[in-house]
Amino acid sequence: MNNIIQVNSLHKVYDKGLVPALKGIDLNLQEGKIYALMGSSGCGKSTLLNIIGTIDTPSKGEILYEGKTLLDIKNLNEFRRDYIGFIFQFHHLIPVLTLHENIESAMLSNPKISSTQRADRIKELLKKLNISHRANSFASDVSGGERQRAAIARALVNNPKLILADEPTGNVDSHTAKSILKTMHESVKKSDGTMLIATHDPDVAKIADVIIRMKDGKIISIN
Amino acid sequence: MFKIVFIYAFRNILRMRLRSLFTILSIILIVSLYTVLSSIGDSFTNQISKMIENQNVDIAIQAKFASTPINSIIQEETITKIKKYQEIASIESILIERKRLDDDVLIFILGLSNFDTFAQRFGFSIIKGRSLKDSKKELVVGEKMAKVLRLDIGSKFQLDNDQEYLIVGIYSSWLNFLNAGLMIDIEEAQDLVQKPGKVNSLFITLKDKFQTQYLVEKINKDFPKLKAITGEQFPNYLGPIKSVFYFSKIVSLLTLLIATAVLLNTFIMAINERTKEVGILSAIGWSKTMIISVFLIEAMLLSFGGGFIGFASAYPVMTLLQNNFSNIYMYLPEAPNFETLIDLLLMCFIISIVSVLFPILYTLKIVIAKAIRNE
Repeated sequence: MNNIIQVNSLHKVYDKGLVPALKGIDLNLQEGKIYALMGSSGCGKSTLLNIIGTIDTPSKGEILYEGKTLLDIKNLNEFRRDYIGFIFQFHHLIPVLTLHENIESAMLSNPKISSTQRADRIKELLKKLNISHRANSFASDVSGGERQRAAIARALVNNPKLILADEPTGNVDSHTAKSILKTMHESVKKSDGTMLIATHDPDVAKIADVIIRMKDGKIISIN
Repeated sequence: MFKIVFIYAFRNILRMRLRSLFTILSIILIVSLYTVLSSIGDSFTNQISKMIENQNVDIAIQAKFASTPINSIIQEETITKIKKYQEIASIESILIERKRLDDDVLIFILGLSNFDTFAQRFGFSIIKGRSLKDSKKELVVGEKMAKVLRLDIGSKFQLDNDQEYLIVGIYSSWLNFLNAGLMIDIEEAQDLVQKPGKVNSLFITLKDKFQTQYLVEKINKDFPKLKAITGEQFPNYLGPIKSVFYFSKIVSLLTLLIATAVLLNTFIMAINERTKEVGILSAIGWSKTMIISVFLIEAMLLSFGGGFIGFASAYPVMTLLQNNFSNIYMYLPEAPNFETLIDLLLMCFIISIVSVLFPILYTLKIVIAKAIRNE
């Protein structure tokens, strides 16, 4: 299988070098696999996820996206839109937009997709994630599970090659968590995408093909 | 794309209803104030400028350091000397004085050397009765003054000097402020305001217009305390025009600053509250332009919304002022002018741009991961 992401000697420090968050991470993510990134709070999981997702910058080291460095990428916003889907712990939907509009917002800046294609794709995802009946509701008017499903739909709507999920079930009950994990698993496998999930929930790790364990900013095992 | 951006911006305004309401109310008040003041200022400036342009005067003379025509004093002996210049075809003089009457109404007293010449030049006509003749103790009043003080032909009118004047005519002029005044013979005016033999300004018509520049230089050389200017230069030289012009500009600048401060404050709060949302939108691929557009649309909706309502609300405000403040009656146009609306549109646009500078700067240097973590 092809390496979709290659992380080389990645370092990240905060507070002008006083707080090291990542201490030389080397990691390869292969196409079509689900990775669980496990470790205790503060071990650097979210930092690694953010840097891979290009929403934070490394202090040292590099990441190759299918062989390309960030310097080779002309427009980072477009790259994020087309290549990466984010699922956050707290859904992070825009409260003044409906679920439909929230999902559509991730496709907005893509001129290649017509409005009809957009509508069809959103309809399909809403149906697949079983929230069609909530399409025109605002995030504050739906349940936690439905919000997280809408957030998953937003992450998947552009068919990204890489999905980054930071504690996606951390804020929902266990029943909803199982349902969300099942949906994520099915969606990723069907689209042949790659998913990296930061979690300390062992149930999440069960859907992963590979478990990466981190401690104090370092990877301690990959299996 | 624009639809969602617009919907998002519009709902953000609704999200903070109370704050948006107070912001828009402030803009309405500011714009209304601006519209009323600048309409009055523009109207006054236009009236004076138009009056001067229509005078057909080759040379105008005032005292050199007078800030306004009313402050300008030209002595009788000076007038006599100037009259001796061969190049002059005719010379007219005017004495203007402001006077506050017992019932708090402010009027202009205009002493004229020749009523008919000035009537022609200043564009006013007798609408009732007759014009001033040689007989003394007569005056003609403007239609607004007649209306406010309930005067009519044949009425007697008493001024400070205990003399009674017979009202022989009522005139009307396209110059609003002249309609709130009275006109009498210049010698009587000099007596009335206790300035015997003195006038404010002289207006000269030459036999040969090509000699204008020559005579201007000659008068300025012969009379160092006077300032002679060509008729074309006169509108710019008049103190009130400059004052009103600068007043209008200062008012517009101040209102612009206040409105910008109000809106800027709104957006500083907005960006603090929506830092996380800006981070999320960046993370899902929104460009900086799209994010800035949201704030810009919000600012435009607030400023243009407030601007239009403020402009419309100036109509009843001006009617209210006209009906209740007769002492400023003379300066008030009946409605805001549309030049003010054009200024306002430009002003609203500038306010919108300036007020979103802070969100723009924030968006340009955003660290997305940090913004998303923001609580």
